[in-house]
Amino acid sequence: MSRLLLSNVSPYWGPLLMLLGAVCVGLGAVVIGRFFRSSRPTREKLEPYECGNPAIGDTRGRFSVKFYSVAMLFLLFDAEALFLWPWAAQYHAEGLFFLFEALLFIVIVGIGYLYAWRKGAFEWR
Amino acid sequence: MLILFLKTALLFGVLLTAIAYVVWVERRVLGVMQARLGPNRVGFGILATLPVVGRLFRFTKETRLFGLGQPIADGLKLFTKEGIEPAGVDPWTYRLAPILGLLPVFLGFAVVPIGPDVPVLGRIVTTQIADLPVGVIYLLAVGSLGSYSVVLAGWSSNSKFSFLGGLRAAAQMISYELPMGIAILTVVMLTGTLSLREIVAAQGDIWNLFRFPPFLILAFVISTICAVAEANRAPFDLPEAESELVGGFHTEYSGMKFALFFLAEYAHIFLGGSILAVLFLGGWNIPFIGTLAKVLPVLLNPWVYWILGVLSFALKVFAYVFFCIWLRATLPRFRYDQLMNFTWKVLTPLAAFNLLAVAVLGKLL
Amino acid sequence: MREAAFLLFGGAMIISALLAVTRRNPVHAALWLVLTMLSLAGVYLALGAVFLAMAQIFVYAGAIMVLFLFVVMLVGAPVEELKTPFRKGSLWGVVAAGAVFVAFLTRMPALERVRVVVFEVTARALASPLIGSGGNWGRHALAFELGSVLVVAAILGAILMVRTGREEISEEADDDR
Repeated sequence: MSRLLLSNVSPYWGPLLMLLGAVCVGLGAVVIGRFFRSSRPTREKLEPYECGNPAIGDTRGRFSVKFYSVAMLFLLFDAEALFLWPWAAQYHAEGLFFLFEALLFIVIVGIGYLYAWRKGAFEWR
Repeated sequence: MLILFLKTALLFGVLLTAIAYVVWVERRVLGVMQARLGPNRVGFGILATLPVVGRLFRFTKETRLFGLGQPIADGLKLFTKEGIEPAGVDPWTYRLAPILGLLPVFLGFAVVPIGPDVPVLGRIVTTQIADLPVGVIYLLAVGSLGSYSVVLAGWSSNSKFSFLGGLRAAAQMISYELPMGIAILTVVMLTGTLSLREIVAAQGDIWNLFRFPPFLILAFVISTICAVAEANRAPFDLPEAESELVGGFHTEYSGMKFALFFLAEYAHIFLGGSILAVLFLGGWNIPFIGTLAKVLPVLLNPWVYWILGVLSFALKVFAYVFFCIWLRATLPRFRYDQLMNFTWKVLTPLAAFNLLAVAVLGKLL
Repeated sequence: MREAAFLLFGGAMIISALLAVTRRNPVHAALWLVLTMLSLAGVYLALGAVFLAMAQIFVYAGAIMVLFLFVVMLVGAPVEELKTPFRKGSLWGVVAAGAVFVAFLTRMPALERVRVVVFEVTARALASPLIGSGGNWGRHALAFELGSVLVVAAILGAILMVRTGREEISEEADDDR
């Protein structure tokens, strides 16, 4: 709050401006160039690349469930890390008890991690 | 507000130029490392036609300047190249993906402090777009959005190589984010703030890298590995493994849309270097400036100090960029199962134990 | 300024949510849902909940929606199957949502009496009520520790879910490695 009162410009304008700039660079490069580049599509040119052979089978087919389980495990450990951010930011100002609470937290999650390891969740197979 | 506009425009200009020239640097350095020349032909023959300057510096049509014209030629080529949109793509997602790739990277640069404060026309101006009170977590949050671009590019392209490459890239990016986040927690614990500006200010005497040896060095190593992997660079460039996936998620992209992916990748390298420099290597702090200033008081002039600070920051970032190029020339590519095992079974537990060690030692010592 | 930002992000949220439920292509729907999540982060930011906004981007936009996209692509539903976005069941969804909305309106104090005091809740400000301070448990310390139990339970669930289908997919897993 005090930060916002002291500075007349909210700091969140910065990211917004960067976002606008990046969109301008991206859109500009693609759109402006449209007037300078040729476009002579042929049927062969528009085929999906498969080393010169005609494409076989369905493209957006099924894939390994492994990707899904990696995304799920990432989500869980990510949420766990999120709990630790406020703790880490306040860590230096607090004592042993504060440390103990986080250790308990990490140990419990560590048990889950060990379980996942034993069950082969991290094997890429 | 006007200052903010100017700073943003300046940052974009500097970044885009630096990226264009880093591509040239990479090709030259790789050339030297592989005992060949690299691009050295495209120069500035056009300078010879300038009226006064051409005479003064004795420019001729053969003025090559080590091939410094290459990035300009490359840019023009990509700009005018035909943009092929293959049959069967999902049009809007296909066009959205390259632009989406730029956003997280440039958003990340918004919180990076590049140099010390400097007085301009009686006002103190920070060399940072925005100092957020949650800067570190903002960086990670924005970085986690990077996987959309690749997974969408892969999905929308209607090509098997793209699809598999996109999925691989997304899974790799999220998997390497985890140990990086945990490693960075140690820095936050020691400095007690999430603001990047305050983290840099806290490193005036000693860089975070050298505190609590060897734990912060370990955190730095983990973060560096993750930064390289997040930018999809060698030896973690599985998403575009040429020998198996052709071009990976951007196989079906050409012309300017391909160039945008390229731009995002190199901007990602710069962002990774900036994060490492700010969190571990003292940001813009200049080593031994206090001692040097006793001999040379002119160093404490705000503008001199600012120039030195920015140079110090740039040097650290470029050291990381050079390190990336060096890695590419040295290491073979990981296999995909090795890559995933490495982050889940080695880096993550290592980062967690490192965090525990710093937490316990920080209170006991 | 805050009001303007709140209205802007709130409007973006409603529009993108509506677009998300009416898209026929599941990937497009998921993308609009990403925008909904990001707008929600913007709303949090406008209300001063800085840390919550970052958590929203970090977890929902950065992890959960990637998971959603993976699921949509894993199932690989052909677009033709979803030709009719509105089924009979969706009417009940609209009714339920409307009921919740009305319930909110009745519980909400009159608009002129609402005076929201906004102060920035950063990560450090959250730490003492959440975890504790001065050698005391925080007010929500038990919830904090239960959070870790919840994560472990979710890990168990995730592993069970993936393992049940393991035998059938093992061949494909070899192909896609």
